[in-house]
Amino acid sequence: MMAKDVLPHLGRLRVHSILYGNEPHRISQAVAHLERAAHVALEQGVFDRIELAYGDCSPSDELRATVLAQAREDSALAAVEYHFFDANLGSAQGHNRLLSIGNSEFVIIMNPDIMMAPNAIVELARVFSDQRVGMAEAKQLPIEHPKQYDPATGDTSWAATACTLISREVLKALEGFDHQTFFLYCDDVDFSWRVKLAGYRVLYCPAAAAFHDKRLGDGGEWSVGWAEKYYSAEAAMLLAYKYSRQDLAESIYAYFKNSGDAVWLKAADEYARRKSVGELPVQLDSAHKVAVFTNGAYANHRFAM
Amino acid sequence: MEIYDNSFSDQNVYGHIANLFARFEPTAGSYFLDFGCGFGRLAEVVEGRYGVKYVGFDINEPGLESLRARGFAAHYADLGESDAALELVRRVLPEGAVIAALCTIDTLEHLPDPLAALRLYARIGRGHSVPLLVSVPNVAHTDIGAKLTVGRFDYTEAGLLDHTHMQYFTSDRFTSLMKDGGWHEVHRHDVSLLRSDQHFPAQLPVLAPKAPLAELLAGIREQADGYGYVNQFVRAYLPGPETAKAHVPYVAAREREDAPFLSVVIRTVGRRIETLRESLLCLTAQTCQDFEIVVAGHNLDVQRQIAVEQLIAELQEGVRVRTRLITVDGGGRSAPLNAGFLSAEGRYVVAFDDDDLVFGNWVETFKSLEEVNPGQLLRATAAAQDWDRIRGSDAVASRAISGMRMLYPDKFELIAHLVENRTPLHSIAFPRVLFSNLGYRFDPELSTAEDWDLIIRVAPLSGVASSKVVTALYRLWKCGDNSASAHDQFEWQSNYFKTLKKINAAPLLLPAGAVVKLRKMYLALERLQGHVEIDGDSAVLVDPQIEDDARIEQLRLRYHELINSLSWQMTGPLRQIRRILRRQPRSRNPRIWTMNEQDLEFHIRQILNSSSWRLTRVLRSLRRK
Repeated sequence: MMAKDVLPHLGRLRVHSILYGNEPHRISQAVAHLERAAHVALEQGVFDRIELAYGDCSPSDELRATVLAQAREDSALAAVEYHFFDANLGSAQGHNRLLSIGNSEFVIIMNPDIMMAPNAIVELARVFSDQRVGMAEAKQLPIEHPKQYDPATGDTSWAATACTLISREVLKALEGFDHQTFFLYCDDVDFSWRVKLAGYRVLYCPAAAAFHDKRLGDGGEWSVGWAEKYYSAEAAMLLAYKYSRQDLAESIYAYFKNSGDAVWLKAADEYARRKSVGELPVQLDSAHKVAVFTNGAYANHRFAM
Repeated sequence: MEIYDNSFSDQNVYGHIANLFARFEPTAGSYFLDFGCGFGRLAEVVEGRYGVKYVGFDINEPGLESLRARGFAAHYADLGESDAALELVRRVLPEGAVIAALCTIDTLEHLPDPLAALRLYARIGRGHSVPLLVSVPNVAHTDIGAKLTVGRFDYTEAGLLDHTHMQYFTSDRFTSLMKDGGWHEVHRHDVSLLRSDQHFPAQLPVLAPKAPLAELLAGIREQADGYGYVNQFVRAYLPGPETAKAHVPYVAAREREDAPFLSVVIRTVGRRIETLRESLLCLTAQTCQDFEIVVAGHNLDVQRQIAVEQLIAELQEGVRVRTRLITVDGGGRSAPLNAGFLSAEGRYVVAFDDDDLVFGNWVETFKSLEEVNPGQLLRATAAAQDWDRIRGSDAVASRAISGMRMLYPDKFELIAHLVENRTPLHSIAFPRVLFSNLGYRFDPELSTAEDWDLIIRVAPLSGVASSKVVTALYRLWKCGDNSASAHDQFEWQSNYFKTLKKINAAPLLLPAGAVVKLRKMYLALERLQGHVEIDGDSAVLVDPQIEDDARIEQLRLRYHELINSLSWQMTGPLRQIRRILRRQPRSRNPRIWTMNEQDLEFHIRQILNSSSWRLTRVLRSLRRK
């Protein structure tokens, strides 16, 4: 890591976020946080232009007015764009669409309900003084992700695109996210591992805080919605297969198949269908250098949630 | 004896006025003007002790005659006629006379417009910085308040509730009146009476000194402003700026319309800037933004204050304008909380440490609780998580090291809280009036557990509305950076002892429902100790179902058992024979599901009192053996 007072100058930044029926006032609130973080980043010279682009996968474009109302003359955000996709593309394809539009040197991929701390962009950018860094992830609060990282260097197994800064060069080299394989979950795990295979570092930045509006259920249990359960189950098998762990993919498949759980059975059936029609991804990392599969997670965890 | 002819004593209002007068070091030969002088029992004392010349003014002729008979100057003056009164004063004083003080004892409360009288005094006194000595009775004496709770407001011939009073004063209203009248307070020497002339009938449970109700009310009253036992406010003033107020003080706005719902008071010593930034982020990200932030910086040096100010400056404007820093020097952990709570403007106030984390619905959940439980303490559920601090190459950052643990109950139980605190401070919001109106504070004497101390003192009064929603995260630092490790076990125990002693010394209000809980606890304890064996037929109800639905269900079950019992079934033929002999119509058992509580009790009693049931008592006792 570089000394605290040395900041890189990284050129232009675009912030990409995919909408799907979000609450308008939370979008406005997220933009207000981003605007403040952008102001600090511009003031400190780490970027010289910052734009925000939303891609909307909602059934209608009723969020258009909300998004466009965020553009203001005196804003630190040089532009606020709204792109209505007229289809639910999922996060991976949605982001790829947005990536095809801009040409900034850096991109932040973030969830629409992320509220950045004022210093978050600066702290994410700081680590790019090292040109071997491909992507850097912010620390989510109040529920911090349990994955392990090196406290001294920040190196970690993968970076969540809930709020992650990525260099355009890396995005281009890897041709964005694998939307053919991943719809909603694990597109970021897959991307992180490809970043690593391409020789770049993936870092976790605990000094860059981003509020992610996740909640605990009554009794403190971690509740998971249908989409998260289904798409993460589907992605688990596909990710294992893609990273040359067909044995693990088959074992997860068998577990889901015998679970009696309707959501997991549906995910297992989708995996079987892809397999039968030859739609499984090309396999990577045959030497198992970057992929980590441990206790159902893609990194060693500091604790169980 | 005239009702207003009270003799002088150093302990009564005359003595206190004389004491205040002495503080101005009066010059011999100067004049002491007593407005509303009555019988002027101060006259001998001020002339004798200080060598001044006494002049009394009143509309009460017997008093004036008494003064003249005793050799003092005394003049008829109507204080409602300001110009005439002023002219009179100028006329009766010799050219070049020096006024030592103006005085008005227990007079303002008899006037329809005391403001006009105060302005008259100001016209006399302003040019020469003449002090004004005033006393008025305290309508908020504990005795009066306590009696009002049982519907009594007893006018008397004289005294605190003199039937001729036209104004009533609390300390606050009196202070406002004097300020509006153009007088600046310089000394206080109030007269206190533990038992006022309103302490009757003394057997009332709101008055009897050892009655728990009286103790409770007196304790609350004394906590509120310290004037619960003040009989008369006795104060000294110098002429101040005149105000434009046209009327005596009254409450113009009952509630502040523009006040935020919540004030979040963040206590910081400025050493944990990284976590303070995270705490502020949790606030700016709240779904409900109806709150202000008061950052209470404790013992901040210049660098730390700048660091905190920079964090505030970093905030987005919409939040920044609702955020302010107050600095507090000295005192313990309670000092910044007390300063912050006193500076708060929200209807509710919540304490927040500079390392606390909350979920996005923290404020929203408090606000939802307030909508259905206004005025109660508002408590949501907190989860606990272990955290530590890691040092990278150039900065320190915090890191979660455990999953969420539900260490704290999702419902507030007062009895459980008497044992220990089970509510992290940032998961409970207090009505601000507890601090601004009732005088509650975090105990400055406590170096730890000041949160528990406050919660158990105010929870019995206001009650606590609980939500099961998890909205707060309590970070348990495993790197030694917490209050648990900063204070040794002896200190913790010592503070707990102080708190227990405090709450044990006063009566305790328990919320509705506490009786059943306490009974169960007591019986369970007795059983555990082997002291009692309580069976089903005991007069002691082990598990009384006092909720309406549960009670009816219990009665239905009992009725069902009785009519299907062997005793009742086998005596059925006897009842039939008796019915036939008495030529009574055939009775049908009532429909159990249509009966209310009274019906069920009636029919059960009928069975238990019947001769059939009594006849089979022997059988039932044999079966038990």
